[in-house]
Amino acid sequence: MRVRLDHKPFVVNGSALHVKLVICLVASLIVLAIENHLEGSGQRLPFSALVEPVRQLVNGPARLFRKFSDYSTQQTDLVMENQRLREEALMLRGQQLRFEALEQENTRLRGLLDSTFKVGDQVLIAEPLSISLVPYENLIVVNKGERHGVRVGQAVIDGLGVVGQVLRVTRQTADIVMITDPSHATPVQINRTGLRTIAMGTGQTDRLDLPYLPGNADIEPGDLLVTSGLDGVFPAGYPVARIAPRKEGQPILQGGAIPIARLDHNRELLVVRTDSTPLQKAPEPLTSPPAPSTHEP
Amino acid sequence: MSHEPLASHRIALALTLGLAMITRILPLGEGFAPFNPDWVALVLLYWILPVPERIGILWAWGVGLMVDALTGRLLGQHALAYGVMAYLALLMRARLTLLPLFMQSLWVLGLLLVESLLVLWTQRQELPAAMQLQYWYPALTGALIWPLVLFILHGLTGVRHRP
Repeated sequence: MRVRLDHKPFVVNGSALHVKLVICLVASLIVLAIENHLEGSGQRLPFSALVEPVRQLVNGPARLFRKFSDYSTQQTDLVMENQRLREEALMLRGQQLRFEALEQENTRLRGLLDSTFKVGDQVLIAEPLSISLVPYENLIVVNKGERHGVRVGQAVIDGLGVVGQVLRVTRQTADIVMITDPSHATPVQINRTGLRTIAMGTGQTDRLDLPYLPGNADIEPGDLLVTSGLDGVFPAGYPVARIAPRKEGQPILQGGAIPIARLDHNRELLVVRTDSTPLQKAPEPLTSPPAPSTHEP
Repeated sequence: MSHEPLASHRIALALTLGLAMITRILPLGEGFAPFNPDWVALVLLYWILPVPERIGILWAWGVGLMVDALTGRLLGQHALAYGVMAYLALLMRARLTLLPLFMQSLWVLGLLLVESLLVLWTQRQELPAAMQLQYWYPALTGALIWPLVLFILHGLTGVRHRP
């Protein structure tokens, strides 16, 4: 009698365990399938709101610490940095003058060629949250989300070059996949020759691979790779990487390319909102060409 | 076995899980980040082994969903992994709790490896690209740290593992 009483709950418990496992497996697969399906349209199941507090909780103290270390920097450091920044701003303003002239000229010439040209990308400044997701995966979480106009597929750059693109958005945050992620490919163009190819991520933040270039392609160490704009995600012409220096006794392609953007320590990122209507800048040509009417839509 | 009242039990469970989730995504810097063990899995194992009535496969599944959202995975990856891990832990529970600490850590290593493998399998990107040795470090550190987890959580919650 006692044996049976002891034995029975064990069996019931055991079979309940199997049933629960099956429930868990089926439910997981269903959720995974739904997520996989939604991923294409850039949505997620509305679940991340639940863990948003945890993310903020982790981010908060780290931010506070950073603020404090900002606050306690020496006066002399600040003066020096100020000086440096002022010089840099001046330099950039000088370049900007030239750039604007070139841009206008470019727009005018393209107008003559009857091709459209998007100028003036609109950007949004985003700050990475101090969260480490998975170290071997090149994902960043930033503090701007759907509420601020971030959408899936938008390009993300920093002051130097391309960082990646928006992978997922929630209301307050967005996950950004970096160009060095193994699953990410960036269509690029070698600036010097115009040769187009694809730069694949390797999982290391300091290296991109160029697997589709032939061995005799015309490339040299230090060549600049810029986005070609063929994928419709990255606007054309942003710097991506430089060809790595040649190693002794190795073909040059072996070394891959080194990303220009500071992928591992960024404080500010720019989300490029190309999906919004670009600024139309079509200045009237000063000397009007003979037949401009054909160019008007 | 000293049993705490139910309410405080539940609070302790929620607190430790919350703490584990925070530690999971704590920015540890370049050197330590690859070794950060899966704290949530460790805490789940801790709660599965002494009190199976409180926390079982379905609990683990729900916690897994939260971890998925937390770490930007597809929903269901960690849910599946934690569910299976909990199932295996529950199957071996009777033996596991009686083992010496070193052997127990080895079993925990096995469970964590199974969990990592399931997350890897449900990953979209190509398998070879993600297969770096680094991927398995957290399971290893998790097993190494298991005695410490037992010690700390035991101090925090007062739930004993051994009769």
